[in-house]
Amino acid sequence: MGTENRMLHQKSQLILMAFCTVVVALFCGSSENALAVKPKPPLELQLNAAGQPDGKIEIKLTAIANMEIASAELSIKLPESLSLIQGGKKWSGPLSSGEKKIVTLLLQKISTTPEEVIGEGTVYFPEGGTFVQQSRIQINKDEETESPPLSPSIKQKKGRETILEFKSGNQ
Amino acid sequence: MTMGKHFKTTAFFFLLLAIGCNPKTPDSPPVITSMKISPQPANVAFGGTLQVSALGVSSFGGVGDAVPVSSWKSDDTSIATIDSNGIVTGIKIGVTTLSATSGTFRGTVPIGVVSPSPGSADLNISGHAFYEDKPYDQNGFTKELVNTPIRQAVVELIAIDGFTTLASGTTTDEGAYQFSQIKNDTRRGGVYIRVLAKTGDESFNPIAILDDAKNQSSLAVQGPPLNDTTNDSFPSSQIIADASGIGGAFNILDMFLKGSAFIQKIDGCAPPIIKCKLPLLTTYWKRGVASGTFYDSTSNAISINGGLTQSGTTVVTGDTDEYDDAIILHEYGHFVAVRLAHDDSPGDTHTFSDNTQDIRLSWSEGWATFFSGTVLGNPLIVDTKDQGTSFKFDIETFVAFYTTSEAAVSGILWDFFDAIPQDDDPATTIGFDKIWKAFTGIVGSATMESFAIELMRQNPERVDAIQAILLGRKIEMSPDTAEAQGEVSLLLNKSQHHTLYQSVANPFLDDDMIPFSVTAGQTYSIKTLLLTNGADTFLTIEDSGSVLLQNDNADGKTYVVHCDALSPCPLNNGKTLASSISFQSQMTRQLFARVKRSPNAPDSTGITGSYDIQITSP
Repeated sequence: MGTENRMLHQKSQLILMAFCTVVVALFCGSSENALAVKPKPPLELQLNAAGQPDGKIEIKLTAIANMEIASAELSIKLPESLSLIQGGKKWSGPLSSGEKKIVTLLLQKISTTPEEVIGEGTVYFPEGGTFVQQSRIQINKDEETESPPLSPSIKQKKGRETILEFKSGNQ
Repeated sequence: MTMGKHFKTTAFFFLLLAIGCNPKTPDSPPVITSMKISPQPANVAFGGTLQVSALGVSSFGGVGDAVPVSSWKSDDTSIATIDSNGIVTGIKIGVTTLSATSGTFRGTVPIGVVSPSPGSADLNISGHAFYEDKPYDQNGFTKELVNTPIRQAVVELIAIDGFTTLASGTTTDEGAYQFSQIKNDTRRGGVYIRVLAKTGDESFNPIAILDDAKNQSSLAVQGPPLNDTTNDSFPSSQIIADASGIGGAFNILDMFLKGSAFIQKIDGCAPPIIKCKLPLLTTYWKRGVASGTFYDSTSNAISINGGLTQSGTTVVTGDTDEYDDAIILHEYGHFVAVRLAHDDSPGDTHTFSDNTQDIRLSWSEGWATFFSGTVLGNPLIVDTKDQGTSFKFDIETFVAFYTTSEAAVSGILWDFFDAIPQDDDPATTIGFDKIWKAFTGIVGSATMESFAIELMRQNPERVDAIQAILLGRKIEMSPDTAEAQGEVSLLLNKSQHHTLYQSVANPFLDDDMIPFSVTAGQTYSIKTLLLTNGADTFLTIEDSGSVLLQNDNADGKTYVVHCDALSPCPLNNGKTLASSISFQSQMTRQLFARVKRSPNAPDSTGITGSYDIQITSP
C-alpha cells in the first residue's frame, strides 16, 4: 500500500472511529437535561434528637446554606420540661454557599410530658428583610408511624397500557 | 499503523458500541432474572378452585418452566385464599393480589373472584369518585382529610371475568359517573369501577399521571366489587382514593386541571383556540419516592417526587409534594411557559431568596411561582414536609429586589396582577390577560426586563405605574438623571449612579459618557461597582473621541457568552462583571469615562441594569 493510500485509509479509519464515538455518546451517553427544579429556601434546616442515659437528650440543629448568607442566626427554642446542661442555644454569623453549621445542646428531661422543640433559622438580607425557617420535633411522644403505602392490587395490560390499581378506601 | 491495527481499533469501537448499548452478552446462557405467575389474568368463581404456578423468566425475556415456590400469599384472604401447592379458592366476588416467592424472586398476579352465574343483561351504575385531599396552611398540613371530587378523569366499568373493560367515560366536575344499559350476561358476574389519574381523550389539555418514567404505568383507584348477578342497578356507588394510598395522584391531576382551566380563561385562549392548546402533560409520581420535583422540557414531563435534588444528588428529607398545591402549580407554570410562551432558563437548582441569579432563570422561576399563586388565588407559597414546612413565603410581602431575583420577579408580577383591594392601588393593577399578552409578545430572551419593556410597549398609558412597581423592587427601567439633564462630572472619591437604560422608545444600547478631570502625574483608579439587575459593564477612558484605555472585567477574565449548565455563567453579584482601569495621567485635562453594556456579556446578564462609577486616587 502506498503512503498516500495508507494516509487516506488512516483518515477514513479516524473518521469511522469518530463516528463510532459519536454514536456511542448519542445512544449510550446520558446528557444532562436542564430541569426546572422547585425552589429551595436559603437554609436547609434539620432538627434531630437522640436519647442518652439518665434521661439526657442531645438535640442537634443542622443548617446548610443554599446560597451566600451575610448574616444568619440559628436558635433552638426549648420547652420547660427540658433543662440545658451543655451548649449554647443561639449562633449567629455568615455562611458560605454549601456551608454546614450545627448547634448541639445536651439537655436533661424534667418530665415525660410530650413537648415540642423548635429549631429556627433566620436569614438577614443585606438589602433588607429577613426570612425565618423552622424545623420541629416532638419530645416524649409515642412513636407515631404512618400507615405503610398500600400496594396496587392489580397490574394489568389494557391494550398497551399498564395500570396500577389501588383499592378504594372507606368502603 | 498497520491495516491489522486499523481493523482492531475499528473493531474495538464497534465492540465498545455493542457493550455500551447492550449489557447482555449474546453468548452467555439464559439465566432466570424474574418470575411470572400463570395464568394471567386469573379468574376463579367463588366456591371454586384454580391451580396457579410460578414460571421463571429468562434474561432474554423468555418464559420457562415452573420454578419451586417457597411461599404463596393472598393479599386479601376474604376474597381468595391460596395453599402451599398454589391452589386458589374463591371466597367472594372481588379482586386481590396473589404473590409467590422463590429464592430472591417474587411474582404477583391479580386474581379476580367472580360469580359462577352470568352477570347482568341490563347493568346500570352511577356514583361519585373522590380523593382525600390534605389541606395545609402556613404551618404545614392541618391534619384534616377532605373528600374532593375526582374531576374530568377517565372512569371505566370493568368485568372481573377477564378484566374486560365494559364501558368507559369521564367523571364530571362533581366527580360523578354513570353507566347505563350495559350488557355483562356473556361473562360470569362481578364488576367494579376503576378511575384513572388521567384525563379523557376529549380533553383539550390532556394530562396523565404515571408511576415512573421507566414503567409508564397509569395510576388508578378501583371501587368496591359489585355482584351484578343478583342486582342490575347500583345507583350510589362511591369510590375514595386514600391519602395514604393513591390520593396524591388525583390531587396532582386536580391541580393541573385548575392550571389548565385558568389558561383557558385568558382572553383569546378559550377552546378550541389552538394557540393555547397544550400537548399531553405526562407526570410521574410514586408515593414515598423522593427523587425530585421538576419540569423537564426535553421530555415534556413533570416529576412530583419531592425531596431535594442537589447537583444530581437526591437528598431524602421527608419532603413529599403530591399535596403541595403551590409547588405542583409552580411546575405547571413552567410547562405553560415553555409550551405557550417563552422560556430560556438554563434550569438547575436555585434558591428563591437569591438575587444574584441568571436573569433567564429568575424570570422563569419567578413566573412559575407567580402563576401558581394566581391560579390558587393565594400569594402564600408553602412547601410542606412530614412535620411543618420546608419553607413558606408570601409572594407579595417577601422583601426581594432586582431582575435577577426570582422572588422579586414573582412579587412584581403579583403587583401587576393583584386586584385585591386592601392595600393595592387599583390604578396600578394591570391584570393577568395583559401580563400574558406581554409575556407571549416578548422578543428575544424571556427575562424580567424584556417582559417589562414589552408590557410598557403594549400599555403606553401605564408606563408610569409599571415603572413605579419596578422601582419598588429597585429595578430602574428608566433613564438615569444624566440622560435627562446632561452628564455631571465625576468627582474624586464620589460615586455616581447610572442605568444602562436609554429611553422607553429605545431602551437598549445605552452609552453613558461621564466627564472627569485629572492632574498631570497623578495615578487614578476608575471603576464600576455595585452592579445590579444583571448589568455587565464595559469601561473605556476617552479623550476627544479617542479610546485611551479599556476594560471589560476587572478580574481580567472573559466569560462564555452562551453559558449554560456545562459552561457555567458568572454570578450577577455586583462584582464579577464590573470593570476597572488604573492609570497615571500625563497631563492635566478633562477625560471621559464611557460605560456601556459589555459586547461579551453572557446570556445570563441583562440588556440594561444599573451600576455605580467611582474614581479614586491614592
